[in-house]
Amino acid sequence: MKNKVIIISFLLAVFLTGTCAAAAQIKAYVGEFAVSGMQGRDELKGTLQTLLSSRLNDETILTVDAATGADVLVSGSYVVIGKVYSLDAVAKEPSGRVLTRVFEQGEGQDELIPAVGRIAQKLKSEILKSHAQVTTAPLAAAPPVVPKPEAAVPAPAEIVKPQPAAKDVASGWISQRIAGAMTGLAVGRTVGDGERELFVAGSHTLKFYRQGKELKLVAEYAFKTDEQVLGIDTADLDGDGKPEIYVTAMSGEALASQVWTVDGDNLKKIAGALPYYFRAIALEGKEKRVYAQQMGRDADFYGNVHELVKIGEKYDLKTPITLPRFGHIYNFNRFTDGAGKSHYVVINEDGYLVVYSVDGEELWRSSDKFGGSEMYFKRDDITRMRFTGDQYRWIFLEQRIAVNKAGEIIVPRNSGTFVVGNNRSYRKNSVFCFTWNGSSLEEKWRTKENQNYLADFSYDEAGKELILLEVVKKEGIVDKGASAVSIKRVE
Amino acid sequence: MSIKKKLLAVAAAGALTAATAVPAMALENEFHGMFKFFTYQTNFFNGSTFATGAAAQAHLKRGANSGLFAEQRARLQYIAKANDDLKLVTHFELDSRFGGVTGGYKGTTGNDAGNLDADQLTLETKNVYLDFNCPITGTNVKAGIQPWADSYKSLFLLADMTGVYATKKFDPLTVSLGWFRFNDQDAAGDQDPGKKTADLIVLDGKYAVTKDLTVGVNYYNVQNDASATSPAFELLHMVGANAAAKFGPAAVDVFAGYQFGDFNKTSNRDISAYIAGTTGKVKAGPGSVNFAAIYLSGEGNTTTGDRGDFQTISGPTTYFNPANMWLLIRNGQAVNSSTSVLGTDNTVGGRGLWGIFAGYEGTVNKLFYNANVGYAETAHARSAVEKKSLGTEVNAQVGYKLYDNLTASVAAAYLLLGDGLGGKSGQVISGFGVIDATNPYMANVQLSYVF
Repeated sequence: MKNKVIIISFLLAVFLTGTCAAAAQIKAYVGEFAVSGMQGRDELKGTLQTLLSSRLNDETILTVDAATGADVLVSGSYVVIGKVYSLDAVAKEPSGRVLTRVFEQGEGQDELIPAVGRIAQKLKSEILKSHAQVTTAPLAAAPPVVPKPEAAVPAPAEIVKPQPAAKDVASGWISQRIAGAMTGLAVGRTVGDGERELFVAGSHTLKFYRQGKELKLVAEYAFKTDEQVLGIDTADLDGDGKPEIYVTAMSGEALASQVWTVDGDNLKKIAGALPYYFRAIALEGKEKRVYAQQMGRDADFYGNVHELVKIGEKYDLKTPITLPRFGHIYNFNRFTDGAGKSHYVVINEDGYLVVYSVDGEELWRSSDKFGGSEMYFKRDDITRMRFTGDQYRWIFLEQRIAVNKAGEIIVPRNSGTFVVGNNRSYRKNSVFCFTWNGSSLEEKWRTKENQNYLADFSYDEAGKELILLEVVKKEGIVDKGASAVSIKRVE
Repeated sequence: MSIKKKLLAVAAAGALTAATAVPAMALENEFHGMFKFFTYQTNFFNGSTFATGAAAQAHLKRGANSGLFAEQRARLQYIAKANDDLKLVTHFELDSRFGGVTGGYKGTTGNDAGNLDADQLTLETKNVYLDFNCPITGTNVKAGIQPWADSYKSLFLLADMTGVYATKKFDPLTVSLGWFRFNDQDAAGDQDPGKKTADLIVLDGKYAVTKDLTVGVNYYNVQNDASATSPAFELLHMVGANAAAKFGPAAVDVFAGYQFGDFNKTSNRDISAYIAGTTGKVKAGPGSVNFAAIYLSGEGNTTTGDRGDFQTISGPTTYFNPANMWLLIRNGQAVNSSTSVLGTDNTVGGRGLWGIFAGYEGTVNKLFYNANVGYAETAHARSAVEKKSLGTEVNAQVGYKLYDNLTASVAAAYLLLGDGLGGKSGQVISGFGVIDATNPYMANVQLSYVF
């Protein structure tokens, strides 16, 4: 009996020791490497990830297969210039705080594997040091602990993880109220002091903000009373490092779009009366470009979507994109699946997400509705007035569909209590992320449903942030309403 | 029923069968509609549509005495959408004058529910049709009671009719072929209906030359075996062309058509008539200048001989909304009081018509406004003393967008009658004019909710 007690005590001690040791391990996730300047890049991305993961793993650091639940996120790059290579890595906390940056450089690929080993040692040393500082820091100095009930236990993939309210998470941010029911949002540069340029549009206004701890209004332009802004987008087409602001606008019943730029603390118009609808998207998650489509005498969206190019001071259209059924400039994007095949994703006129092959075959459509916009423009339709009761026909725009480098599709959903015909009044929104599993779109995550209409959004892939423009108070007969910009980090 | 008509009917039935064979999917419910409220202070309108010049004539006799009345119209449209390629469209209308009107006012012989305690049947059918895309050819087909408008700004025909209408796009060309039966006078219970009928066959083509230029040609064929009055002719062929173009700040439409056929085959009276017109808008300053001009050929003698006057199916199914008139030409915004000093007969009893119209319109944020002026006269006088001038109208409207879908506006119009409608004895147009008639005017307040 005594022996049994000793054995059980010994086993229990071993078990508990093992448990404690496991609990003390830091969970680290090594992401895919960015590789440039050489051939066979795609193959090397995964190889370097595997090499660093295995060399980082020991009794103090446990490398895990998913970013979810990891204490440390490691990302790296491998650049070859001439014969010299540079191997760089950065370790961050999930909140975005940088723990350390390390690098190794050398010549020839023979040195690569030992270099990965050295990088792993450097990272390990710095991660443990930083971790020790955090764990031994005085309790009073620690930041307020935010309960993360779901994050404490790794959630099965099928369970929806509600996002904490934006203000309660370290990475969340919400602006002060902006006067007026705003309709469009576009993101500019992040300038030297870490402030981000934001451009917000209303029906007759363009506002230039800098977002730091607060949203600071830098400049504002009021359009003419007969000009209606339909949307704004940003992209750096002239490659001067300063993105232009592409304002889709109507003057009367014709498109008269404009291009603006930032000039110090001012906005400066550099082109006007352009007969195009604009939308900047990153097709297949690649570089963000501006696309354009024209309005016909009869057709609301005429011909193909084209890429907009800037030649000198002028703008022109090139590279036509033939869209599948229901597709127009405001409701499409393209993604690449795991096998490298391209597919179009479109929000159709009833609000369903439809996936098409590049040759236009419908592959899948959602059961729920997505998108939903209150933004519209009108065109004269006086002949049909006797049938419709309205001198104009209404053309509603659609929400952006964002696609990231991983082929994930990010699309918002507005829903409401009163959406009938042309009478749209959305009250709630949520943003969804889907991945293509080869046969259908599978939900990966979604944001908590918010009790506001989402007018526009932008996805910052580098910072993994959603920048949302919400109308917090609808426009009334006299009241101009109010809006707010919020930022949610996608973990 | 001719062979041509039978073939069309068989083709429509075949396509219908193909569409209903599409697998059932979740139904998408779509609703649209409108509600319009008007209150008028006027010495002319009374809440009715004067179908003839004679009916309008009676109201020109009212002198300067005016009355205040109010009316409303609601329309509800329900679309049952089975999938992207198949939907059932239904559309209904409810009209009332405040206080009610008895005696066959709208649709039925009863009241219009505007009376004490409402409780009347006032629901009118506008449309009930199936709209589907052929799964084999991609042709869009509409079958049933459906709306249709001509390519002449509705001066020939705009109506809800029973028919089958097929449209196929061969980008940039769009071709439509339709068959409408707008009259079948065979008695109920006949074992062989379809003999005393009036049919319209439509062949229409539109070609988008560029994004700023669309050209079109059309052929209409009307075979009337049903009635000697509506329409008055027996066989009509109508060929025409149209174009819609944009030049810089100007958007311009032009159209022209020629009619020929048998007005009365027995008495060997032929038709040879034509129509031409233009409408457009030019961006100018904060708003736009709108303009329109029309010419409908007329006939000096409609009793004997060939007919040179422009033919329509019926007056109440013709419009010319781009004129932006209220009294001289009926206004597109009007509901129950959808009429003018010509009744609804823009041909002025076959005399023909020419008119020019212009205005300025614009918006200032939620405020919208327009002001218009127009002049019209007949193309032919029936006697040496009969005057052609119908009058000159000036009108203006100012409104405010209360919500995206709700607008409130006020409008006022005054018509300086020409001698043809308000001149001396012998000068006025028979069946239209009133000797020394007082100039008609109107002011209205409108609430318009459209969704």
